[in-house]
Amino acid sequence: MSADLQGAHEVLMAEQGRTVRVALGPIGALAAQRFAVACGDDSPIYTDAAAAHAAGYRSLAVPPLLLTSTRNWGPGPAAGLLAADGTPAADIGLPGGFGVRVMGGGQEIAFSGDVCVDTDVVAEFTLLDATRKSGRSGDLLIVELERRFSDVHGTTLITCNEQRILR
Amino acid sequence: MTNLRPGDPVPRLERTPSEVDLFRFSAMTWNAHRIHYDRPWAEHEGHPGVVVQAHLHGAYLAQAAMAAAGPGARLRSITWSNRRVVTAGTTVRVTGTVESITDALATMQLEERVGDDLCVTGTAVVEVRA
Repeated sequence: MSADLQGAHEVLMAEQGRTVRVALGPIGALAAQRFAVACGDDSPIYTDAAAAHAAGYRSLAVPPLLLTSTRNWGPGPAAGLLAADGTPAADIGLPGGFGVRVMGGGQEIAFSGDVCVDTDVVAEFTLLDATRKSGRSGDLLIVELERRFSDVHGTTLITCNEQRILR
Repeated sequence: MTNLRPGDPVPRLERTPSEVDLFRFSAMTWNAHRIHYDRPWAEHEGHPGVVVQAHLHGAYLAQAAMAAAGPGARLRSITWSNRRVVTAGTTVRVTGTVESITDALATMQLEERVGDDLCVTGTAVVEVRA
């Protein structure tokens, strides 16, 4: 199926500014520690409460890139709903059914508060913009997303502005 | 207050992510993209091996910046660009320089290389603490 960038663009522009809110709950110590192990990060602030307190955290810390690295916060999608390469057939900022492929285009992440293993986290995902461009390798869509992670009191903890390139 | 000064080098950080590491990272981040754990598929897409995830590169840069800043530091921002694909079993080396320090915020310019090949560039701002 050839990519229908025009169709994808129209769908994205209809979603521009829409925010999807997901209550993530606490990250939990095990997930935080497993992420740290996968990253080769042996800092004791993820495993040792005394070390975390000495560093100023109220409890065990969560590695700073865990929240923004996670690609999907739901239980799925089911394998049959994934593309052949394992990527989601549809996602926030990726409309399904248009034959487009997605590549990461960079990200800027700001951290404004500590995320600890018992922080009750709320995520908000907003499609900011989608722009058609022509490059040396052909036409593409630049999609700009904001992913914001806050505590349940509404205090922003992490803001990730990222670009995705659709072809 | 930290002894960090503008112009100081960021201590080198080396990582050699294995296929197991990449599988675990994808599992923890619920990332089913096959290029990160399925070698035949990665090769089918033209890569020489299983591909290191973009955010894992970011995590390496963050680790280097935090280690340079010292105990109690807080990462305040990070941005990075992936320039070349890196595959499992490859040793990456993160280096950098403290560009400036203003109001306890240290800005560091970071690079990740495989040998002499530049793979990732990035900037981290870390709040340093006494």
